[in-house]
Amino acid sequence: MALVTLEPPVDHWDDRAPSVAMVPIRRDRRPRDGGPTTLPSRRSWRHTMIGHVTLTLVALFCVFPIVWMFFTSFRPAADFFTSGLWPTGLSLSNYSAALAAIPIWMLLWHTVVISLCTSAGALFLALLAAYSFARFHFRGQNLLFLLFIGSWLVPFQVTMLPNYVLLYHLGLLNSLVGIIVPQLSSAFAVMLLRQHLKAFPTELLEAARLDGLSEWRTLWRIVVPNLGPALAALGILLFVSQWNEYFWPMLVFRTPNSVIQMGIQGFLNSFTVNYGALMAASALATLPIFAIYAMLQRRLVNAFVRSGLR
Amino acid sequence: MLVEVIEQRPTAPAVAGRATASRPRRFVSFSEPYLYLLPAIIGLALWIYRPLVETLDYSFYRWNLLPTAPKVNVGWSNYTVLLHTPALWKAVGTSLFFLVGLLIFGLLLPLGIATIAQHVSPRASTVYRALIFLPVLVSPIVTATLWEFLLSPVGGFVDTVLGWFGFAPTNWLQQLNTARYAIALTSGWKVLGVSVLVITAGLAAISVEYFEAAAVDGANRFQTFRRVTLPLLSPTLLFMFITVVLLSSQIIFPLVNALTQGGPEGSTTDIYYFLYQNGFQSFNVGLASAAAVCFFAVFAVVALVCVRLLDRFSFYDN
Repeated sequence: MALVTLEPPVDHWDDRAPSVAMVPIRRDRRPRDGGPTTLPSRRSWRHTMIGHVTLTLVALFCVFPIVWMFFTSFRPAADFFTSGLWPTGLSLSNYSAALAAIPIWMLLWHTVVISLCTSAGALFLALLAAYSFARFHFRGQNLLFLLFIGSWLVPFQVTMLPNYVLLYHLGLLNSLVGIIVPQLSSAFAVMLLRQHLKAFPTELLEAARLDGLSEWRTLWRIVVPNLGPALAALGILLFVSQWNEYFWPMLVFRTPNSVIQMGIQGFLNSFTVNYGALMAASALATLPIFAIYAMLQRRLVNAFVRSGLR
Repeated sequence: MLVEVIEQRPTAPAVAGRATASRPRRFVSFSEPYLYLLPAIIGLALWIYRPLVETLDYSFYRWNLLPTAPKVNVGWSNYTVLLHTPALWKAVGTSLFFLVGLLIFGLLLPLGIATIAQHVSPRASTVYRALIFLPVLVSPIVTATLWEFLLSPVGGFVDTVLGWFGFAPTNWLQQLNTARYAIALTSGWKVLGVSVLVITAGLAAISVEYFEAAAVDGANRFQTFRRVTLPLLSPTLLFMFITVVLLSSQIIFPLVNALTQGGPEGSTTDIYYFLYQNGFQSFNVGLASAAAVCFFAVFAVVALVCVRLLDRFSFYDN
């Protein structure tokens, strides 16, 4: 099936990635070893400048709202009545206002628990399924794989009503379990891991087989330790998307006091919006994700671009 | 019995021994792949495919989501009512409007930007990439919050800056003729960065030799773009197209829900918000399900056509 190519053909950014296709391609055409330049350097310089200007504008467009959020969150609350853009000083009053208005620590705790459970569970199920697809040949394999791909085509809004009803019958409405369980099967995670497992060196697996290791042990002793980076990237990806998820928690809980995104939404839709406090709450909700990003920037970007997701 | 078995044993020891030893093992190795798949398949069946079938079922009933209320079989009437609801066609139009906006921000602009930015050194582009990626990490709700604040008529950045040039403050999100553009812009912000990254990656994967060959042949920039870049980039572009179409509901819905709740006067109610309003606000489950079935059918056909296109019209550089 063609859907396997639902991945951009090559990603060359991760210089450390162990793939022949990922050799970094030099785009400046002047040889670095001092050889003769093939193109007039003035023209090339102009192109480079245009490139820099364009990318700077795009980066500004992308970053400015976020910078503005942090900037605003540290302005004194009284600033908003003066309606100037420049602050009269710095203060933490917005943060204390936000903490007083919504139970942020509790919401963050809920969000952490849900995100950890969902990403760990989805990672585990996806690992097993991907191992099955990549390691074995069995009857109905293609059909079952299609089942996973096909689930991408079902929009969330189509399944929400019946799922809501089922959760009601299971008595799982208003519970963290009710948020976690329906999101454990991630077709995307299965497909991504399957690709990684297909590229796994066969010699290692054969050696394990010769040593009499069962498939289960091969998976945990040989495959998982060698798949660390890929698993970590995918795990973080799942964690981040679950952290940012709010629609399903909104349906399951129907109160603002469930996850941090819901808390912010309740804040946003309240009658009089206190923008300073709202920005402070948003900053607190975003900061953990940015912290993860700062630590694992390159891997995360690559994983996202490979998947083209959210 | 026992005696019989023991007596028979010497006659065919090897065969009997192998049969008893290998039968359980063969069973395990036959069922093993399925056992690994089982948990994930159960999840899919229970939370994706069962609801899909149930939605189909609901679409023939009148029901208000209350467990105690009776479900009344009304045949195809939900569908006929649906197709005669003006709000549906308006929502379809709005969805197409948002999709065009997303394709501009997620395909057209990134293509231009990535082409222009081709000559930036790898080290500099790493920095740009890190910054451009940031909106992807911001949650939909925080995105809505940021833009509501930026677009706010009272002290919002956009109106303040426009005010310096003598423009009167505008309530972008609450005005009939601007609300949908504001939503399109906000969703564009979310999608622009990642598309630029994906398309830049696609461009960089094209071997420099092709461009050099085109330059040797005397092709100008436009010809190079049209004849070399575009065909070789087509898999990436189709990939982005499918992604944008598939994810449009996930990107747009939270923004509409948080910023405008479908208003003003329903001008930002797209098909998914229409579904949500009917299902969870008017509790008209039958109508919502009928709409869901229709949307899914259209959606699946579009996606399958895209996949076929991806298969057939992609030029690979091997």
